[in-house]
Amino acid sequence: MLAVHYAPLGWTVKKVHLLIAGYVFYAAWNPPFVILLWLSTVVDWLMARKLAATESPGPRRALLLVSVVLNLGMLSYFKYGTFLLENFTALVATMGVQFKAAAPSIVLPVGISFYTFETLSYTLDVYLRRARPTPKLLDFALFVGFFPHLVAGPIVRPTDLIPQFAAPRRATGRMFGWGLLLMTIGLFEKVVLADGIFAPVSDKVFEATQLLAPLDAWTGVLAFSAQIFCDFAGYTTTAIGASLALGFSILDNFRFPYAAIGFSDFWRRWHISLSTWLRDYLYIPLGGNRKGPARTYVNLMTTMLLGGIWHGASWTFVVWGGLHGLYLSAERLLAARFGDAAFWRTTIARIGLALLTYTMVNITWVFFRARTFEGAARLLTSMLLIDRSGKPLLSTYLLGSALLAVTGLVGTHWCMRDRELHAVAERTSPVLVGMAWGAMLFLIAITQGGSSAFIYFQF
Amino acid sequence: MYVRPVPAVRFGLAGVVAVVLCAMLLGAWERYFRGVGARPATVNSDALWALQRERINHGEGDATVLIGSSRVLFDVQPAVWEQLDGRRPIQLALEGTSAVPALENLAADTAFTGRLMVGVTPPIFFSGFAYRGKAIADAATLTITARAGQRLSMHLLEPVWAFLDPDFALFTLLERQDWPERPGVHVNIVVRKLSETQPDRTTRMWDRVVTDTVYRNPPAPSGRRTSGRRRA
Repeated sequence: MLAVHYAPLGWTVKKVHLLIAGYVFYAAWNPPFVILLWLSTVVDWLMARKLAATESPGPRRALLLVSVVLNLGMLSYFKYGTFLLENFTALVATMGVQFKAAAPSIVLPVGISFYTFETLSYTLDVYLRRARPTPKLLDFALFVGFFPHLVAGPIVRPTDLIPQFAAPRRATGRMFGWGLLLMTIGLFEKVVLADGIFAPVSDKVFEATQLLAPLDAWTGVLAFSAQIFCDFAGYTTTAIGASLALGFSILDNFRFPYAAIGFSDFWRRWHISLSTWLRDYLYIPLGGNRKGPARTYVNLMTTMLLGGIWHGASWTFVVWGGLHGLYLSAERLLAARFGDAAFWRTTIARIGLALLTYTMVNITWVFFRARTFEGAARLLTSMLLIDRSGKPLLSTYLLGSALLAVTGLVGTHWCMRDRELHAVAERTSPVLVGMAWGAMLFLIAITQGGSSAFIYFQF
Repeated sequence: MYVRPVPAVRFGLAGVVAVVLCAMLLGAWERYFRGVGARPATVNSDALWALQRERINHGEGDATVLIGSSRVLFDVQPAVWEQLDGRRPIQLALEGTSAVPALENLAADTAFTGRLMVGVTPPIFFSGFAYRGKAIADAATLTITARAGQRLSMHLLEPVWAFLDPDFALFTLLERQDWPERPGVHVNIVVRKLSETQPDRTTRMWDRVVTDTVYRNPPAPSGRRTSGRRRA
């Protein structure tokens, strides 16, 4: 791929090559589902062109509706079809109607939650007159099918990526080097940290069917919080690095979220591309905070509930989103009442709030990871010391390794809270950078990594 | 349009340091494992099983197939079998796994018209215990990527590096150290490296298991139960 990208070929040829590479990358999982990618691409490109050429509000709304129905319809069918059918069956059963549907067998296309949101943001931006449609189908198709962000984001905005396709892009030596280092960091996070250290502990605790001792329950949840960060941030860091090595810039998706002070701060640091998408296309159009306090809380809850369901077709994800909505609402209410006090700007208050934020976020991770509410309740019963009779499960090694690594991770987030990784790298000697780089490569090799997929591939 | 900031680092120098350091560390790591008797071998992975299983649907449906647990897997000599029978059997036995899932899998496949030799280790066969059951379940959905990864690894990496063995993975080694036991949590020492595998899943006992009695019967570390029985 690099050989073609840096060969003396025309820019259009290179873009076609990148597009084909994206489709091959996607088809390597399941070839027929590339058709969905094409469908979303072609329909939204056409709808956006027509939107830009139409002035009357009625037809414009109709065109937008076509795009929304197609994208959300595809997403609903593949992602929520089975969930809706199961809940419908359960609902009518409560009314005494025994409805037995054929067993559904719907395969969730990888990345559908991501690329449907990206194409939707394109038509929405054109409808809201925030952007002009691109005249080139190739550029739009490449925006959708650009392989680094295709299957698990970041949810890139068309205004950020499409202009980069206008002229030939090639990475300078420094961009290429930084891109390779970012890819190494991403792989290290995934293979060594997420899969090597945290997943064995998290899986053991969440798959237990008995009540666990509080220490084990907390360790498992903390391990999952670290696993999901390292897994997802590892993927997006690799994606950002791969893009940079080809000369393209993609925005950060994480900014050391476990050093967040408060839940608004958390959502400015966690899965940034999704939280800003929800803010710009859901929260603000619903009115944001411009229609009074009561409506603000409704808008916050609606946005976070839908953010929860975006992750998966399960009531546990709805609860996860709902909890974050409650946290944000409570924070807003308390900040309005007590936020002016100088105490909240002291170091001890900031540390306390940060620990509280981290703890409360971990409570929500229980619902995110648990397969059932019973499992979640069992863990929380132990974590909140409601029942302390649970038995220990984790060996000394698993307990110690997880807690040590989580401490290291949260400590790193704290140190980097107000820093940028590139700035730290710039202040470090190249020999030290090289040593860290070499150590990461070595650890990746000897960890040996299994074939576990990235967690966010399932969303 | 967003432009990602790039640090003014001498990446050429950093890259050279990284490659040299990684090479030195890998060399030392590999040397250690060669020193304890390990040799490059194919990893006995689920994807490897799937590739062998696929042979039945790619023109070898009339082959002799071996299924069962480790007593059918370890030290069956396909070369001798070939001398006697004229064809090498397809090795689909899975350690610690009842033959029943594989039996059902092949019975449901009309492409299979050959002979099946079924190894029966009674406690495993009749209990349905399937330590490697996932290999059978996942074989039908092996993706193009997984297939390509398996082939790249078994042809380019595994023939070169002896440390590429799941029993030598960093965190597996760490977990198997003699850590203090936590009250109420009993850790069975998992069986360590037992065998070496070839690309066609011909598997033989690792020499050290045969010749090193201490390795074969390690003394129990402080307070930990050892698994007295090897996985079949």
